[in-house]
Amino acid sequence: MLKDKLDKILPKVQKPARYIGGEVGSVVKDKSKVDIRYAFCFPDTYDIGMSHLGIKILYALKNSVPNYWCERVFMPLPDMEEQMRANDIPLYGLESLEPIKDFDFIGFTLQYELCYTNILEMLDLAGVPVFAKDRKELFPIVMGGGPCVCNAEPIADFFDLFVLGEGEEVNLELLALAEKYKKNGGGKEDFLNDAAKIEGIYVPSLYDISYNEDGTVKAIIPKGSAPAKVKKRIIDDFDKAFSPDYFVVPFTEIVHDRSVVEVLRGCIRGCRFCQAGFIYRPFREKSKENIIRQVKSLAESTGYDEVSLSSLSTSDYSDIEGLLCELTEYTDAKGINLSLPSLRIDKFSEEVVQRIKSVRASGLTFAPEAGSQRLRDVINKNITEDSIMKSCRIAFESGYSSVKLYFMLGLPTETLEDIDAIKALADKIIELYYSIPNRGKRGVSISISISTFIPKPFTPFEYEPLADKQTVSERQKHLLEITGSKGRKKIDVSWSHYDTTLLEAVLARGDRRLSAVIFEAWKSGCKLDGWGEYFKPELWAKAFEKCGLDMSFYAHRKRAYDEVMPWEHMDMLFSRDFLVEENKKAHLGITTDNCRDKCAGCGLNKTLGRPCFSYGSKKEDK
Amino acid sequence: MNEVTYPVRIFFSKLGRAKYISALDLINCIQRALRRTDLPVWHTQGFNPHTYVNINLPLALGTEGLCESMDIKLCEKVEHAQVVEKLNAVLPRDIRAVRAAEPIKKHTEIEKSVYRIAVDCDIDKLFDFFASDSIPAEKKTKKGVTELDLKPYIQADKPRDGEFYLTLPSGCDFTVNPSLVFDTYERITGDKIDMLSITRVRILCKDGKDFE
Repeated sequence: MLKDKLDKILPKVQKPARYIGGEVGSVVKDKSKVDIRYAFCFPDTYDIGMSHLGIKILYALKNSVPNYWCERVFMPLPDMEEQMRANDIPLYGLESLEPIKDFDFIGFTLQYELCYTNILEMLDLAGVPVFAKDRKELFPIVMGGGPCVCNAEPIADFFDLFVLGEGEEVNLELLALAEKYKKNGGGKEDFLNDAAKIEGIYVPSLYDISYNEDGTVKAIIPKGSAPAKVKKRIIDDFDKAFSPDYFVVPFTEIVHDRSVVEVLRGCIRGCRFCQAGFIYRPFREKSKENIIRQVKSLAESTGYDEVSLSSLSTSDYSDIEGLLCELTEYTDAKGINLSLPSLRIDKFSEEVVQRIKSVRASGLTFAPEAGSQRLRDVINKNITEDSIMKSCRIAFESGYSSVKLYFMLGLPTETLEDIDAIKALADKIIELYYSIPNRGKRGVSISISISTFIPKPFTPFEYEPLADKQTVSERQKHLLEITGSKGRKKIDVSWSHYDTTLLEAVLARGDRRLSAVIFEAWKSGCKLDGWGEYFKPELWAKAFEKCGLDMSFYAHRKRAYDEVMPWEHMDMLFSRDFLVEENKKAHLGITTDNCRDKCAGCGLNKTLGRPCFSYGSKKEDK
Repeated sequence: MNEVTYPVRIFFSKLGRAKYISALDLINCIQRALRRTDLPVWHTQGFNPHTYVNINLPLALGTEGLCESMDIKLCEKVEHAQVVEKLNAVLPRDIRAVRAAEPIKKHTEIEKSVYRIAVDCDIDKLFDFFASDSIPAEKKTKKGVTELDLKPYIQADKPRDGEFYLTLPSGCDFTVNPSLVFDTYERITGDKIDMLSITRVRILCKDGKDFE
C-alpha cells in the first residue's frame, strides 16, 4: 500500500497535507461496490486546483452516482515529485491513495495553455504512456475538458477524447457508456467510435488533418462515426444544472479558500478579446432562491467564513440589488464575508453600496483594458471614463484609497497615444481623490497591472497577430517613462513576461503538429511553465527548432478570414461569420450593444431554438 | 465585558492522514468544524471577530497524538457528551474528539511528552547512542541555531517488538521534538533511520501527572 511509502517521504516535503487527502468533504467509497473509477486531474498544484469551481462541481456530480468513484489528483511540486520517483510511488488518487493507472478514466481539466507539459508529466508519473496511440487497452481512458478544448489540437495526440462545453450531463453519459463496455467487453476503437456519437464528445484520432504548403491547415476530414463538427454541450436550463452542496475543505491554505456559488453563465458583454465571453454563451442565470439556498448549504457544510459569488460579470445578474439585499441579511447574521469579484459599483443605489460595504470588500479593481475611449470601442469594452470616475467617487467617499486598474498592451490598432491615455486616466483618478473633502487619511495609490493581449480562438480577434516583442517592450518602456515622470510613488506598474505570453499565444491557436513540440519540450525538462521560477523558454525554443516549426507562424501572423483554422471542426453554437463581422466592426471602431439590450446576431438563438432574452418586455437598464 | 462563558477542554486524537496538518492549519480546521456545528461557541471580540480555539500543546508535523487537547468557550452550558458528539459529526475522519471536560490545569504547567516510537533501524545501536556520555545537538529556533546536550533530556524505555517509549521535555519554555533526537542520531552516527511512526501518548505536567 502506498500509505506506508508516503509516510516515509511526506515528512521531507513542503506542505505535505496537500498530498495525503482525508479532508472533510472528500469522498471515500467501498471499492468493491464501485464500477467506474475516475481520476480527476488538475494539471497544476493542489493550491491552485482546489480553488477551481469546475472540479468541485464535477467531483460531486460523479460521486453522486453510487457506483462511480471520482478522486482528485494534482501536479506535485518538484520536491514531492523527486521523492515519488526515487521511491517508486506512482501518481495516486488523494482519496484511496491508489495508483491512477488502474483507474478507468484519467480526466484532465484544461483551464490554461501553460499547463500542457504538466499533463505529460502527470501521465508519466502515473506510469501511463503519454501518446494515445501507445495506449492499446481501452482503460484507462485519458480525456480532457474545459475551455482549452475549443482548440485542443496542440494536445490532441495525448488524449483519447475531449468533452466540448459544459460537462454536467455529457460526463455521466460517457461514464455510462464505459460502464456498458466494462460489463459487455469491447475494444478501444469501438468505444471511441461509440463515444464520438455522443453530442459534445470529440475524438481527435477520428479526424485526418492535411496542411497547405504554407503551413496552414488544408482540410479536416472526419472518419467513422465522427461528426464533421463537434457540437458544444450546454445546460439550457441553468437553474436545474447540478451544483454541489458540499466542497472538499482543504487542510492547508489554498489560493481561494472559501465557498463559491455560481450565479450565472455566459456573458452579455461581447468584449472582442475575451474568449470566455464567447465560448460560454448563451447567458443564463440561476434563480435568486437557488443562489441563496446554495450559499446557505455550502456555509453550513463547509464552515467557511467567506463566500464568493462567481461568474464572468456578476453585476449583470438581472436582480443583483435584490440578490445582494437578501444575501447580506444572511451573511451579516452569520458573520460570513461576502466577496464579490468584478463588481461594477457605479450601477448600484446608495443603499446597496452601504450594504456591501458592511461586508468587507476586497478593494477596488477595474478592468478598462485600454486607456482611450477609441481603443475601448475597438475592443468593445463598454466601460466609460464616466463610470470609472463615478465608481471611484463612491469608493473614495466610503474610505477607499487604493485602486487597481487592469490594462492590455498590444491590442489591435493600438498606438502610443493609447498608452498615454492610461497615464491620463490614472492622473484623473488621483486628482479626483484629492478633490474629495471627506476622503481617507491615507494618500491615494493606483496600481496598474499590464498584460499583453493574446488573440484566442472563437473571438473576433482570432485573426489578429500577437504584438511582437519589440513593440510590446517599447510600449512598456513608454508607459514606465510617463508614469515615472510624475507621481511615481502613487502609480505602481506591473506586467507579464513576453516569453510566457508568446508561448501561450502559440499554444492557444496552434495546430496538431504542436503535440510533437510539447512532447520534445517536456522530454527536455519543461514543466510548470505557468510558474515563473520553473519556466524555461530556451528549452521551448529548442523544441520548436527540433520539430522544424516556427513560433511566429502561430503567434505573429495575421490570419485571413477564409483560412481554415485548426479548430474549424469545433462548433461553439454561434456562427463564424459573426466573428468576421465583429472583427470588421472593431477595425472601424464600431461598438456592439450588449446582448440584453439588443441581440448582436451571433446565431446562437437559432441553435437554442429560442431568443436568449425576452426583448419584448424591455427591462430597465441598470 | 461581563458576559458569562463556559470554558471546555476537548481531548482529541490526531492520527493517520491528520498527522500532516500543521499546528497553524489545525486551528483553522477546528474553527471551521465548530462553525459546521450548532454549538454556541464564543467568538473573540473586536474589529475582526473569530471563533476562539486554543490548542494546548501543538504537535509537530508528522507526529500522531492520542491525548491532544484544545480549549474553546461556549456562551451557553452544553453537556460535555453533546459537545463530543456534535464535533465528531463534522471533524475530519482522522481527528476524533475523545472526551470533553472543564479545564483543570493550565497549559503552562505542561512539562513533558511521552512518545511511542516505531523505527526501522539498528535498535541496539540507537540505545547505545542514548547511553553515550553526551549527545551534542543543534536545535534550530526562530532566533537561530543553539547548541545543546540532549543527554539529560532523553528518557527512553527498553524496546519491545521494535517499539519503545521516549519521554522528552515539551511545554511553553522548552521543547525537544523526537525529530531532533533522530536527526542528531543520523548526523553523529551516519546511519539512516526510517521512521515508521511517532505517537504522543501522554502529556505530563510539572507535578508528574497527566495534563487534564
